[in-house]
Amino acid sequence: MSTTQPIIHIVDDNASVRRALRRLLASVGHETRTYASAHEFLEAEHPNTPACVVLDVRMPRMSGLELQDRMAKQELTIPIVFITGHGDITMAVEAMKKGAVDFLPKPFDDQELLASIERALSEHEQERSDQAEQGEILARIDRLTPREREVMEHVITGLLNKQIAAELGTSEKTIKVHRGRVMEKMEVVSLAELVRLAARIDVHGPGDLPPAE
Amino acid sequence: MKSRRQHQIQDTPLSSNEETGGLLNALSGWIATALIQDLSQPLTAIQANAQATLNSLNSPDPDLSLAREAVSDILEDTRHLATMLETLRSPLRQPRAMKPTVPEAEVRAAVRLLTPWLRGRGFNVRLLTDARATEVILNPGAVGTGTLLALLGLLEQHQTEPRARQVLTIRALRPQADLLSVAIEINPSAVVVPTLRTGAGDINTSDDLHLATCISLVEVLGGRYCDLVDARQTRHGVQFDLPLTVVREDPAP
Repeated sequence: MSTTQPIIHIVDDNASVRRALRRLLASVGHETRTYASAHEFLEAEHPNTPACVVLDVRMPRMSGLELQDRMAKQELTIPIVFITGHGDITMAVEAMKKGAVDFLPKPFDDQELLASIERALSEHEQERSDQAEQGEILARIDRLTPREREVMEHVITGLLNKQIAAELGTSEKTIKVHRGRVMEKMEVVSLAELVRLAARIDVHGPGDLPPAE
Repeated sequence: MKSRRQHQIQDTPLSSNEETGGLLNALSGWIATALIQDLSQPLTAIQANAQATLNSLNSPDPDLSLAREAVSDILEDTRHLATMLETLRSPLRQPRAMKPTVPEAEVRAAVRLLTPWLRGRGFNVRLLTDARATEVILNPGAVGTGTLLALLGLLEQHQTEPRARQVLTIRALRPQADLLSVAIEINPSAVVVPTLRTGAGDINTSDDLHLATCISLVEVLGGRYCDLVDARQTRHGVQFDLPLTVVREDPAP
């Protein structure tokens, strides 16, 4: 996991607001990047660091809400704090349903903005951490043979070796060997730990594991 | 069941003053909503700049150049706000005795009702009350374009059947000549296209109060906007798209 400083992306077509927010965030030690339009933000490269977007709702050509949709389509999972001069309840509800962290009407209190940004960064950090953990689990699963995958899917349901052997049409001894290899390759020492890892990637029983490549 | 008194109220024709008052009431609401948007931008910038300056000055190693730049921007935004308020002060401080009535009238009647009020406040108004088109010519100034867009909103309220939604396109350019003209074409078989136009010129959405007010009003109407650029990517205007109910075409005389 990278430990670089989080980046706050400010997307607002109003130059004066953009400059002011950049200064405000810089004055409390945040690293910022500013964009005059949604397109400019989408075209920019986004390093793999904790980040959040402070996004104006009303912008020419592509609005903040449209940018939120585009980010979702492009799987750009950076949390968004919306700011707007003319927000209504419907707009706020729509934005929040799509995962926005907050919806602040302009002018807003600086503490309010900073609190929302902190929350967004914390969410992003958590999400990145979850993704990294899931990636690690999937990498371990990739090391399993097709047969070991089958055994693992049955083991996590709580079946005994004897029952799994019957299900898969093999001997209990063979299952015991496979089970040992699964535990070794998945780097766990107990069944509880294996079940927890499987649950992290939403695997709860036979057929849930992604097919082996 | 309606009482005799309710029938009397319903059947009593509204006076011209009452009708105008109702329209102006609605118009003021539109402009007020638009102003919230226009004023919130510089206020947000001022607040953030002031806080940034304070944070910087309170730090052990104050960044004086940051503070200087922030204060300079605060001054600029304050001037911008002052200009907005000055522009708006005149029409908004007129005392009005208004009754919230919504007259049942056709589009032409609604426009005609506003004429005395507009003329009384120095606007030059010309109406072509053709069944298919209404043209209003106003002097730029005060909340000219905002008023016109509010007027469009009022026109929408007075439109009847059919209720199908169509896209309305408004082209707004910075007023360069003495007059700002607005043409509102109404035709049920085509997209309604009101056009605000005058001499060409650069436009700056953040600095132009009229345009900012237009944008806000368009958004209040549930519309969208985008910059108009020429082949050299020079911005020369803004295009607004907003839904508006199509009016029924009057029968040919």
